[in-house]
Amino acid sequence: MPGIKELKTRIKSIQGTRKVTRAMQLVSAAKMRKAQDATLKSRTYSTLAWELILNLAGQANASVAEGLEAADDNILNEEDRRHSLMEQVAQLLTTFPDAKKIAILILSTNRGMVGGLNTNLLGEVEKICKDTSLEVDMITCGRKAREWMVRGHKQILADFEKFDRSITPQDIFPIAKLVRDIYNTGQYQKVLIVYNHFVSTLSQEPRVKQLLPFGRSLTDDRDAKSKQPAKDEQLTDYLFEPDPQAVLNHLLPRIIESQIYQTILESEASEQSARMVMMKNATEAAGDLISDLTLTFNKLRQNKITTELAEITAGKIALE
Amino acid sequence: MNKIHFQLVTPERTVLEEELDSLSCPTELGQITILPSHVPLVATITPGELIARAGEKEHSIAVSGGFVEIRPNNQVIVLADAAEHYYEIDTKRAEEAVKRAQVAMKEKAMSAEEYARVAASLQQSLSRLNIARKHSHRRTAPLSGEGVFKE
Repeated sequence: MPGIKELKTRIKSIQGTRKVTRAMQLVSAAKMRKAQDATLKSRTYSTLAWELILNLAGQANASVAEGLEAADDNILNEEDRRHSLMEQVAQLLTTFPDAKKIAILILSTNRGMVGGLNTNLLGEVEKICKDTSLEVDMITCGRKAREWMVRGHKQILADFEKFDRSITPQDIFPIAKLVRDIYNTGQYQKVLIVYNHFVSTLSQEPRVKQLLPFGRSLTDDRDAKSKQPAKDEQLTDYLFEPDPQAVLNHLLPRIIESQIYQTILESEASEQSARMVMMKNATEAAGDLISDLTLTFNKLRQNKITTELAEITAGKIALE
Repeated sequence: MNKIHFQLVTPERTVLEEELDSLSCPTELGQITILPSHVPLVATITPGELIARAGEKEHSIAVSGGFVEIRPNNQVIVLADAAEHYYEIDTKRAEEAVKRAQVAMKEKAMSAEEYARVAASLQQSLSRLNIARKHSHRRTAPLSGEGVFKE
């Protein structure tokens, strides 16, 4: 049983902690609202952009091959011709099935106090590393991911600073450029993004999204469903204005940017939500602890008073 | 008659989602007008005015680049970098932007990349300004909450 004095200091210190967690809760609640708002608003854009690229990915190749057929008929076989053409028209549509490496872009938080958010995220990365026989290069965004990679002696290709202010589409350009550039070197079979998907304030889930080559997300059920109609639409011929090359060269980088932008927004919303919930729990737990300790404290104090009274009375009786 | 299911989205928000009779938008090859049952098409949009018509109603929206996608089932989607209704355009700010860009293009020695960026932004602000001016005579923006009940 601790003494009265120890109890008193403990209550004081817990009260101090509660003040801190409550302040953090309020701050992240405000940030959370903003981040959630931004995420939900831009979801339409990125979903539509992604659908567009799924519709186009197959069809673009076919129409280009056709165009060339008319131009000159005597080039090698179909396969080679298509390959070279795809590269000509849009480098980013090329696939490199023989490449030896994959790159993973990890979007983590800068600070802790977000519960299991980062642990789950990095667990997902770990799983990818284990499942693949290819060499894995990391691109990190956020301090936690960087620290983890350094501890684990992973190969970091690039590290981007995660901003504490709200991001703008312009902030994405360097990341998108790097992703495009490394993919265009032909050394990477695919580029993945691992991020926390914002489901609701109370739940966020780590997700893996395949950014390049354009394909459906690995864990996203909704995308899996929309893949079916996309297949049918490959048969419909899209016209391009002015021509496929110009449109695709403009469109593809933009789509990568929009996808990265969206995932960063999702991560941000997840982070703030997780932190808000964690801090709310902490504040409540501190409150519980304080009332518990105060009860014990009062009991002890009352005990002491009773004992003292009994002693005084006993002394008085003895004197009489 | 069937209608176009139209969606105009930017990374920040959904600007317009409506059933339309026709849609005119500025593409690289010039202004095109899309009517229902258009063949599937993907085109690049240049800064300019996008006009969406539904019956008597007409929306005029300033867009600053992006893409238009026409899907087989009368769905038209515009992915714009930025878009504003004409009544949202801040004329004063647009004028300032035009001036700034003009000064910058005249005075500073710039790399080709910088020059292209300034020229693009000039083109954007000019087109926004034109749209705002064109509609200034019917600047009856939908009433916003503020000031409605105040004298």
